[in-house]
Amino acid sequence: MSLVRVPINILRLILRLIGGNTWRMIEEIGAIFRFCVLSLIAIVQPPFYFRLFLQQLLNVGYYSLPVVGLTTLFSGMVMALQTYSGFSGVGAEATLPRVVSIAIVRELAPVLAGLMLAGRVGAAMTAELGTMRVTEQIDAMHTLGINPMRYLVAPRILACTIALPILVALGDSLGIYGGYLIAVYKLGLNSANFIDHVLDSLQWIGVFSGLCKAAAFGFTLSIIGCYFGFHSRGGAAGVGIATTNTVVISSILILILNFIITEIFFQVQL
Amino acid sequence: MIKMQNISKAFGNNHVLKDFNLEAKKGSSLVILGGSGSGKSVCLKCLLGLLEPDSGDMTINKTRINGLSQKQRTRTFGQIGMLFQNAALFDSLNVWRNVAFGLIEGQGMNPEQAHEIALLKLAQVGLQESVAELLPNELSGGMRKRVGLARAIATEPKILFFDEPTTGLDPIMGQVIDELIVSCVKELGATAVTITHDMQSLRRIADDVVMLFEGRDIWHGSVQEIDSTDNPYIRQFVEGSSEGPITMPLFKLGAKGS
Repeated sequence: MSLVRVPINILRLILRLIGGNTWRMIEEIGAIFRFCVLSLIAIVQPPFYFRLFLQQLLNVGYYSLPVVGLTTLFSGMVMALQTYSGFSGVGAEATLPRVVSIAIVRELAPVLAGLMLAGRVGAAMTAELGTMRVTEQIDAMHTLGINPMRYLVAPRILACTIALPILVALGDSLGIYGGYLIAVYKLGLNSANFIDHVLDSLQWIGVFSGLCKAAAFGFTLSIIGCYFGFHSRGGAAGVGIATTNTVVISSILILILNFIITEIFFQVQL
Repeated sequence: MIKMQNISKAFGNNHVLKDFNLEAKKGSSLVILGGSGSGKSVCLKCLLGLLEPDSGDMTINKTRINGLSQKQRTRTFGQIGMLFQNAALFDSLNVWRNVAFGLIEGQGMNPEQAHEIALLKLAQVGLQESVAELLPNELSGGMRKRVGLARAIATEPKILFFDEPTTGLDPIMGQVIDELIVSCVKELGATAVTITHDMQSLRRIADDVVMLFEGRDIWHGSVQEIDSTDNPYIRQFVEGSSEGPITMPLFKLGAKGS
């Protein structure tokens, strides 16, 4: 009898573990969705802290320029080398500018910029808000009659959503320029041909899809960064865990969103 | 008048407040006394609207405050001042901006005018003008508490809350802070609620006392009655004795079954 009970108890334990974790995950998703709705309300409801918005725009946009610029520049260079080595075997090296520009504009620039900002900006948002939470600064704000969602969250989300498309637009140019440098100066392709092919291949819908992705990634990573910061618990260790969660979850969400938005634009183009 | 009636609050299976009652008369200073983990901070957070009680009524001047947003509270009762245990100063802002925060961001006052008021409030808590430009991490514990107090009274609130105002301070600085609290409350004619486990501080600032033990209010009385009561919980707290109805679980290293 007891021999039969042992596997049943183990099975029950496993099911309880899976059930408990699933339930917690559903609760967390619900809480993030609720936070997202509250953030949108905070953005549209006055007062709007314009000075804080500009400060965040500077922090997210301007100070991220070197990171995004270098990432996209070198990605464009690598893309040119890899495309050439893959396509020259079948005599299709002339398609190199087209491949590089489409890859950069539609995929590489938005995704890489999103991932870079998840690490640089998302983690910083969580650490900053998390520290404010555990040192009761957010509670203090409440008692002074200031809504922390409007004062702390709304400017960050809006700044991230606006700054990322601008960074990606710059990243697009730098990525293509990286491809140009390799194609023209290393692989010996004709400069005018390269530019012509790039301009031919760039359709408005491709550029638009890349910028849409950037805005969606900016919104997502700032929501996740603010959510985990706002709900940090347990001192420095808690803030550390929250920061890790922000980077991991926003990176995964960026990749999932990338597929969803690509699929939507793919259907539109058909 | 601030009133809490039959307030209960639980976090999962942990019932922190159980039918808790409190009454602070207008213009008086009420101290909630209790040991660590007795539910004092949760009680204060419920009053501040940072936590919502599971059941019971909270009223300020006979207006029910359960479920009211911070904006509605401010509209109904004016600003509420709060001094946090660790001052909770905004570490990215300098001292005068911390003090003037509620005036500038909450009331829309222009920064020049708010700066003047901040300097006045800093002087009121015994801080010189030279401190105004420092950042919170450049201040000592006592100075941080003073800045926190200046911030709490900057908007001239009629309701003030103090969360363990003397914790972490030396006895002299503790007395200075207590005296500042008494003078600020008197000057504003405010109703004050303080939580503490410091008996000396209690004697200096309290008019009335509520003893909180395991989430329940087990004694109410005036500060004068505290020495004459035969309530065993109060007696143990006053005497600071480890013998009595309040027991602390002690886990000794290497003890069997611990």
